[in-house]
Amino acid sequence: MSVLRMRCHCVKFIRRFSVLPEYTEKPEYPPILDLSRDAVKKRNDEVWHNKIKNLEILEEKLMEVNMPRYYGWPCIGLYEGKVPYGSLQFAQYITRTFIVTQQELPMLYQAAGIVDLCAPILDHVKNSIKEAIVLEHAVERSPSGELEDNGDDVNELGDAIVHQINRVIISSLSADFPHLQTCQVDHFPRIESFWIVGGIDPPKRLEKIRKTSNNGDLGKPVDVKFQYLGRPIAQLRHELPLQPAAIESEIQKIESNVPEFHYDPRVLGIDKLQRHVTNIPGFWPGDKSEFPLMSFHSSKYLANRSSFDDSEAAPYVHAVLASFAWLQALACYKGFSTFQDVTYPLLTQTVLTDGQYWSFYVYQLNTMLLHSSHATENQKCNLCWGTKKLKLFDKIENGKVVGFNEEVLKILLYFYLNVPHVRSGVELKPYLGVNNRYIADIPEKDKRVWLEKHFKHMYSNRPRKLLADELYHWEKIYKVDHKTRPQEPRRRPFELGQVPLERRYDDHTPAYVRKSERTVKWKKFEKTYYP
Amino acid sequence: MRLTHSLWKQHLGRMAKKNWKAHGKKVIQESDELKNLEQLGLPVIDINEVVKDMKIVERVKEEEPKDLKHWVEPPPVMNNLHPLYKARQCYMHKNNTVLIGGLDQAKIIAKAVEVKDGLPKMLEEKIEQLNVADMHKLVKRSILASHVFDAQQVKLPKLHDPSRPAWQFPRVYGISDQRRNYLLCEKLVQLSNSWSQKSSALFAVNNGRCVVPIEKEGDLIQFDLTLNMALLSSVPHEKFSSQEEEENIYKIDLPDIYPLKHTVSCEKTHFYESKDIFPVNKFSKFSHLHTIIIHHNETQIKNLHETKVLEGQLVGRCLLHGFAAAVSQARQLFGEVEKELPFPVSIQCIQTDGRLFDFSIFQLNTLDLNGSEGMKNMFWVLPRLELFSLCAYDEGRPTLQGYNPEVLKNFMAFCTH
Repeated sequence: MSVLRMRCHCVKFIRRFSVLPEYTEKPEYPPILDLSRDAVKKRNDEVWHNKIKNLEILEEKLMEVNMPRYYGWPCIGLYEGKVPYGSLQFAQYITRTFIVTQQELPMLYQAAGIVDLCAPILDHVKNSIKEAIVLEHAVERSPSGELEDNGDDVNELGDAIVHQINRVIISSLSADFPHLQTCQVDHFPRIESFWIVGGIDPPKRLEKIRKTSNNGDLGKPVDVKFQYLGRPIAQLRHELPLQPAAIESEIQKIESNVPEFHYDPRVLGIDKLQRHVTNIPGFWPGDKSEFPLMSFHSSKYLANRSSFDDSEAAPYVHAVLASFAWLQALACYKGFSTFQDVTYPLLTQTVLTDGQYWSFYVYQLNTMLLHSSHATENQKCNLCWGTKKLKLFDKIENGKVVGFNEEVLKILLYFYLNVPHVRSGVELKPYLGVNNRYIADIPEKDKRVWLEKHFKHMYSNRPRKLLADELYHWEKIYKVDHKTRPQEPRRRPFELGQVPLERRYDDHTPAYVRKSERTVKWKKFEKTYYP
Repeated sequence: MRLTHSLWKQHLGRMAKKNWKAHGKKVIQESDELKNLEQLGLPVIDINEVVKDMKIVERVKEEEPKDLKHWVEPPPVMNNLHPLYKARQCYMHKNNTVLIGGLDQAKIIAKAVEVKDGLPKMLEEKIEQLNVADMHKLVKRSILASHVFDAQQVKLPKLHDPSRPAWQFPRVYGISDQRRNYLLCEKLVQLSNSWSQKSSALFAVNNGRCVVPIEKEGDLIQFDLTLNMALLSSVPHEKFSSQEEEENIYKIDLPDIYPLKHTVSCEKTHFYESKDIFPVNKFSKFSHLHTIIIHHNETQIKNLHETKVLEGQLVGRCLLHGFAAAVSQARQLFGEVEKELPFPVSIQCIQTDGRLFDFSIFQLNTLDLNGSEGMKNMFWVLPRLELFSLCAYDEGRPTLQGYNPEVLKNFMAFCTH
């Protein structure tokens, strides 16, 4: 270009963009940023957290959490019914739960007027339930190779009793309580929940690295990612939420001291997992019934814990983790996440049972922001009310139930009679788009189809065909620990400063499109719509 | 570590030499143990003094017993010493068996005739009068919940395109057919229980086992079935047949499947236990089978010779399930019956694969299954009904197309009869 043309170009450029005044009355200073290492790191993290917050489509939000890692995040695996000994403090710390002992569980229902409704219904339903229990004991079952097999802790009889009692109560009460007819009942649903907890002691390996790098990080607590994988016997969901059991002002009255457990979770015998983290409350996004009513969990494993007496604590661990995980996953389906806290409380009712012994819990989720410093500085905490282990019946003799305990049935009925209401004055999904909330709402067909396929693929956690690059043992000895091979060209990732496990999810060549299927001849690779 | 091509290049001789050199120069240091012990006043005894009097005892090798039990039990030898061996051959009819002769062969085994097209008159009248208009919305929701919104992801069978036999489709992950059928039936039964007024009259039970041996033309046929869902009541069904239909039995002949024998494509075995198992023992008041719902799981029900399973075969399966359940019920009520029953035992049977529904009723009048003369059993069946035409993610959107309200009407009528 000639000099004259360049000058004209510059003048045009300046004319178009020199609209902003260069001088103002008062000086407008940019904010003074804290340049300490921690603050810089926090700001960088917030960029990513805000990206998640600003995504409008729910499935994109769920996918974005996994985008930084092609091979998945290293997390601690929590499983349904795998309760380590002496882990109540741990469970309370990682879910920020306070177990309320000042208030008895049935008292919650007295305030709501449910206890008075219960008496006539109890008489109506009592006999059917007794018949149901006798029937299930009298059934000759086929060996179930049909549904998923969970091993030794499978309790077919107990699960069948739960399903039966659920059927009986819903059938009897649907006419008078329409919320039971319109609720969705899930059988053995897939519950997966992911959250991050801060304030945990760093592992020894990390401390060793920190010593050598001299960053001043030594001793600083670490964030740990938890992935809960659950399989309740049954759960009930509805389109409307339950009323919270305790409002803000009441929560402050209850003296809440959440215990601290800052040790690495592996001291309890829990193992690590490497997987794409998932939040699935038992159904895919799009199902309208997205608020919890109650869930039933199997407690058969509790009978085999004879060597250590934690019969009081273990059920609480199970209930707290299961309730928190389900509520957390449900909250994620409303646009919240482990980085964006819930703006209103969610309530669920949990039942732990093996058919004969029942215990009941009510769990209120007030907060799920637990990462980094929030683990200890979060003003809110979650609440859990629970009962002791109660016996529904002693045994079955000659086709009759012996020792039937009506108190247990009463509490169960309170759970069913807790009617969900419209939550007014609260924006239920503040972080989701107004018009476009789910993949199904996206108008562009290509994007919709692509996203649906890839979201489901990510959430299936299929193992990768090719594993991540590994450091062979001989390489560690002869190249890393003792540099004995200067003659070898540096081609391996660890020699080039690359960390294979930090590969991004979208760091791959997109799928190849055959010539016959291309819209534009030279576009060999498909368009990707990663968030 | 594995000696790979790269590692081979590493010259380990230098390391070995260094190792020897370092150990050769090693000086054994005096430890402070002795000094400290003497300071503390503890006695120090030379180990050799202690060991001097000890003798090395040679381990006596125990003679291995000749009939040593295997750590893993070897599989039982299938010969006449097997505990379940019987000299008489038995034709086993398992849950996933389909007969090559289809509905006709099933009718011959059960000695049943179709006296009328469609369902019995009283049931048809009931279906017409049924008003379930307010339930359709909930049923559509249930269909979507069991086919589309359930979060199970297991490997589904490979997709095939007959026009492109060599083309390999990417594997699909989704809800398995067993789970899909289980969820749909649970939800439909729940809805029908909620809707009907006499909800305390029926109890649903999952995976009940029904085992019943029968004698026909000198052959022993044993049914070992899983009733995926059984609705139980405290009173037996009244008979479905009218006077006219009962007279018609003698006029209708059994079908002829010559040259096939009625036991063709049943599994023949000498290893069986001939027993009667009814899903519910007499302790419970609710021991009358009202309706049975059986699942047609495409991954489990296959023909021996790998051809496609035909509609007639599936209706035949429905008939035989109804028949076996009725026989088992009759034996539980009346004990060992040879000929005509005191009153007919009726079972309603619904078969589904999640989309297609077969509604049928089997009425057992007699257990004398030999020949084709005399009293016969009765069978009514509706032609196949489609619950919907498509329920899946279509272009990224969960869709339900072609919903058929007739299916719900029939289902409710069966469950509330």
